[in-house]
Amino acid sequence: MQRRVTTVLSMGAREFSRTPLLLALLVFLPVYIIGVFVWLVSDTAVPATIDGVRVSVSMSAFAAAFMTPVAVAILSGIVGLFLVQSSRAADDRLRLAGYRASELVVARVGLLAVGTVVAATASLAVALFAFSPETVAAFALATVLCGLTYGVLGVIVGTVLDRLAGVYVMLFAPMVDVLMFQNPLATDSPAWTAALPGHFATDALVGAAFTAGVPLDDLAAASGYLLVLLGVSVLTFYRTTAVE
Amino acid sequence: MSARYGADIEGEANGREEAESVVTASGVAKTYDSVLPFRRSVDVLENATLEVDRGEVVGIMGENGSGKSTLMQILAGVLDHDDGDVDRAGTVGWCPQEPRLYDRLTVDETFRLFGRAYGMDDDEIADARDWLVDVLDFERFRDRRVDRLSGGNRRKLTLSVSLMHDPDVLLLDEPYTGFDWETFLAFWDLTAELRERGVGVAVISHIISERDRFDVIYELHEGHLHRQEVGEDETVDSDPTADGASCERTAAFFDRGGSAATDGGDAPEQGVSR
Amino acid sequence: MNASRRITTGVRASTVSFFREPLNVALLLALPALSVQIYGVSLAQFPDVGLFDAAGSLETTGRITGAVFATGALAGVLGLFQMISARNADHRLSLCGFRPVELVGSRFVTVLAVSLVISAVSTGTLVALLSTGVGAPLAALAGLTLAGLIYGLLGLVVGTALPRELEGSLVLVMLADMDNVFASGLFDIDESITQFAPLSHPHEIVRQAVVDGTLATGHVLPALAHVFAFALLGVGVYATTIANGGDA
Repeated sequence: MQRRVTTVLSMGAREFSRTPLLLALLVFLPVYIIGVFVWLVSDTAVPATIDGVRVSVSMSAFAAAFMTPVAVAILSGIVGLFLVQSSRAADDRLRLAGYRASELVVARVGLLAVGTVVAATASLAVALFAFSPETVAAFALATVLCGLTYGVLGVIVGTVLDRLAGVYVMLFAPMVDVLMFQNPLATDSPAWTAALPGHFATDALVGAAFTAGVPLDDLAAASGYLLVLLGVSVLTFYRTTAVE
Repeated sequence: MSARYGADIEGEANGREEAESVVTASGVAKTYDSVLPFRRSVDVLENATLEVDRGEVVGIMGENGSGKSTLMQILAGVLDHDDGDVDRAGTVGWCPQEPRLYDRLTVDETFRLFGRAYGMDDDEIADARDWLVDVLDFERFRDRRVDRLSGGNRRKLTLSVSLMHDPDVLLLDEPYTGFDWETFLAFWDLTAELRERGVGVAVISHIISERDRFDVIYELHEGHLHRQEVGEDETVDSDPTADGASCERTAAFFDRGGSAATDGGDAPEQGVSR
Repeated sequence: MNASRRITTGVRASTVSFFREPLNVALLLALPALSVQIYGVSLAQFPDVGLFDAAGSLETTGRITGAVFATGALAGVLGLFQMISARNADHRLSLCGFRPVELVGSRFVTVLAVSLVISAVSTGTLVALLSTGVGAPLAALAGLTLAGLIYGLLGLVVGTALPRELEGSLVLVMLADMDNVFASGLFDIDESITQFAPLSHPHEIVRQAVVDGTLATGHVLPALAHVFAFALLGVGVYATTIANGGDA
């Protein structure tokens, strides 16, 4: 099994590397988004609620920190959607040839992780130019987790919806969830927003950016949420590509 | 070249002694349903019965839209069916009508990926690849990406991937679309070799004028399969067979003095360039 | 067959092919309403003091922003996908006798038709959800239609120049998101910059229609200028692509 997963992963990586335009966009777009936001906002101090504590943060530092997961989530979500859809017809054939649903999903998510890391690296590079997180490693990990969470959600959406519908959904979901409902500048967030995909990863990220110590609870919860979504993606993929 | 591929194996059953039939469909029904009330459902297959025996070459013909590809996907196991049974004795090789390949992989990489899926080791993959690119004459395109292959070469690769693992039954959906004349002949030589080896081959084709290449022909008409044996004198017996219904259409078609047109109006040379 | 009949035929073909997918139609109807509601609810959770530069309540600004964004983004993505899927077929049509200007005209009218549908849904949602109502619903509809038209044309341009669904979607989604930020009025950005953001003028038209009940005549011409610029760009890029055989 390991050899099969390695093979499909390495082939997927080759396919990915042969899309230079996509790779360029995964680098350029986060730089554009985060850079523009940092440039737009003033340097005034704003109150934010982080881990239940009211802190004062500079708006430009907040913009750099917060637009990082927004950018990575949007990009990963769309990439996840297309990754699974573009290989769907051929994946049916691979399943018939002997690959299990779980092996194929792991391979697609592995590729997604590559794309997420590329986007996250570009995002972190420009964000770190604008501000210094309290714990850089945790900030980076939370960014990747946020991206992967939305990437796997993109895989699930891509398995059940067609391309146009899928893009519509992945257009709105990360923006609304991460940028709006998980925003620590908000003082009146409804309790149900804690169940949204971006919640734990965003909490971890903002905690790592502006508070001392590593937000282990949030990182663990974000990882758990991702694993659950991964399980859902395998199940969904299995159901929709059933082979006798 | 290994003994497994391309060897002279006259009379060798190659371990396929056990089952006479390699794939059997009994009373298969399939309807494409719509969840919306104002969209009509399409009954594609109704009580379709078919059998492919070891070492037999079966032709499946029918009008455009009669459900041939649907039937083949059901036989392959990639599409579910609403009723009936499908039994497969052995491994399946499926060559779909669409390429269903990974566009940015090269020919070699495609062989490696699918070979690994079939559980083949590196030597087996290399042997199968070398044999197939030689037989189907696309060796010089081994380093080329799938999205940069011509339609005919993509078809050759699709076909190759379906039989590289030496399956017990081959299900081929219009396998030679886009083949040049030489490759078309090579395909039938290959099929003859597979038949000798005891592989059951089912081919969806419109070029049924090549009837001597088939042992049995099924016509799919209004959801039912009508089976015809191809006799020694190459005429088709129009008497009722397995499903109890006669198919004079098929017999009439063949007995029209070698006329190559199907009822659907497809030109016989369609898909093959001379 | 004269040009208007060919354009009518082209429009019918592209709209029918879209509206035959019930899920797409459902999303087209549901997402604008959802966007208006969610943007309103989420912005309302921010304190009204000092954080943003919005004129008026954050909830109203949020709903207006949601309406403009939904109309623009949905029309833009549709324009993009239309263009990518139809490139080769349009080249074939051009060989059969359709002139490039007729083909692009068909696409333009289709984008307009879809923009009208989305903006009607968004306007209806604004009327239903805003406690203060909408002062000038027709002006709001006009502003939203302009947003849809601008982004639909931008989608056609991106789809022609970058005919790959994934890369095109990424570019369009990011453009729409960032443009929406500029246009929302939530941040204190110099007008010399925001005037170039395509959604800023439709946003202001809608805002004035909702809050003041007037037509922001000063923003109509710049919005139309954006439409004209993207239309010109679209025709140029499209005609060149079709002349080159559809495939880049």
